[in-house]
Amino acid sequence: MRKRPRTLPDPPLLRPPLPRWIRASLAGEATGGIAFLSGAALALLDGPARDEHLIGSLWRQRLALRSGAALARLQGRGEDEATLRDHFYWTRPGHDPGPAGRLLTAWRFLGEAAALRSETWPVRLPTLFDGVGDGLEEAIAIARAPRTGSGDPVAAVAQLVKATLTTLPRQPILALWLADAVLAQRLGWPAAVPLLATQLSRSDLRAATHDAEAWAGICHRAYARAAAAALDLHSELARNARRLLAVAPQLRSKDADRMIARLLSEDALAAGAGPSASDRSGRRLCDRLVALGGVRELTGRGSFRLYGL
Amino acid sequence: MSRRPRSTAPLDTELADLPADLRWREWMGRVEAVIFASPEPVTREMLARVVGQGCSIDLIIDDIRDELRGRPYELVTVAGGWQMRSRKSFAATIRVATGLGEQVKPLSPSESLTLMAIGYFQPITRSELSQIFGKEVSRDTIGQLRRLGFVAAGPRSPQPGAPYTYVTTKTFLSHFGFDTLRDLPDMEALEDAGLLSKDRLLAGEIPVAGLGHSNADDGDGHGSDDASDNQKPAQGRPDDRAAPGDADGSGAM
Repeated sequence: MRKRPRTLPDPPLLRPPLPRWIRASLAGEATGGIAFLSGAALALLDGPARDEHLIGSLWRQRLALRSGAALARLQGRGEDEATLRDHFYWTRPGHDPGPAGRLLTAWRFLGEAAALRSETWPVRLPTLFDGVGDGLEEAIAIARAPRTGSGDPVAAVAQLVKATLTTLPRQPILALWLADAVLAQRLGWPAAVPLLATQLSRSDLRAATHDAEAWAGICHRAYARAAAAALDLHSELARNARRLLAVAPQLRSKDADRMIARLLSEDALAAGAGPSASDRSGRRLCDRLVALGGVRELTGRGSFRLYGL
Repeated sequence: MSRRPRSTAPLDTELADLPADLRWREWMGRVEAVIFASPEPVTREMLARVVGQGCSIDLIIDDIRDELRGRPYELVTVAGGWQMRSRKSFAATIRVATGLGEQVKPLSPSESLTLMAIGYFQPITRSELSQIFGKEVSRDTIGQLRRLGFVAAGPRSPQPGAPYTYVTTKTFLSHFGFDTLRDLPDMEALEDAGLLSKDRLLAGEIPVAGLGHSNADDGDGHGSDDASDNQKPAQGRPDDRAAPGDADGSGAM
């Protein structure tokens, strides 16, 4: 029997880990030199952020999930990452994923390259965020302004969040979304990386409009921590991806290669029929991948399972 | 019968040949006409199709609002868009003139209570709603709310049978005069108290009697007040602006 040709993507590069001195300084409470730490951490993030490997999209989606859960917490809603993922993946096309699901949709969009095209913001943002009516144009004008010029990008973003919250005090989520988008534009990344929202508390956000001196430091600290966490996540995903690609040649299902590529680029997948394999075959493939240690089952449920790296 | 031929030329949005102030008037006219003609709130996206690239929709809206000062109708921001509505103070007048108030059945207490619970805890399934209320929420109640367009199907719940959850719609926001869900009465207070978590509620971490009391008191209170007051005016027509003032006023504790 002739063998089918396999088309598996290359394994992702393993990046050097976060230097121990950055981790040690971040664990401490030291506030001096925080700008230096955030600069160093963001510079290390440059490699993963520019990488064109498939896992870049998965990485951004996972970070979007973290941001979504952090923002849901910030809003006093109870949804955690698993719930957000359920809302997102179990919504039929054309149905409404609910307020928390819409939040995740907006942050997943942030990770796409299209989100950085600020010409489309006036049209796209109102569809992503609830109730961005009056004042949006002013906020966008502010977001477009500080991009030009040199200087500390994080300080510029802190300014931007402050100005946006002054214009639209009821839209902290939009302000944080614009912050990550503008930072990516300034750092020249091909797509934004959801960072800032994961490391801010309610009192931090209050400082944006009430405590101007502390706010820049808070942003630096948040970006330093978020970048360190994002770097860790990227190395973890890269390791998992290599493990998945190592077991991939053992799979004989017709859809295996396509499935592997999707698992490498998508946060979670429900087992199901593919273009050339039955529903049952899709489920068996996922079970086999779990048994081989290539992917994890993310929900811990016996039904309505979702698989991912 | 012959139809009048429609012009196929694309709409000139830039109006480069007009002087600036005439161009602005034209844009204002277009925006106002689009909003006036629409039965639903008009989104920014729709308005952007009829004005030029450099035109600020926010400023146009502000100018139109200025012009409408003193008129019996106004331009309101609602459900993430804009809509023309008659001013609230004319509600009684319109009701008398049209007689619409008597025809439309207000939401029943159980319907408005269910709608309130969906508003706060969405997405939520019918069985979870029943669990919260401690009694069966009937399919008819949900069906009625769906028919009115206040709720729609959300994500399916990962439970046996994959029941649909329910979420509130733009129609809900627009009918009750909310701009976003965050305008629901007491949203901030509930958030601060951590009462918005459906999981905690269902896990029994929040004493149901306490919740029933506080929520039924203010939730039910304005829930049904809002619903029945605002329900009386025409359902389909946005003439009578729902009473956000009322809701907010009593909502701010």
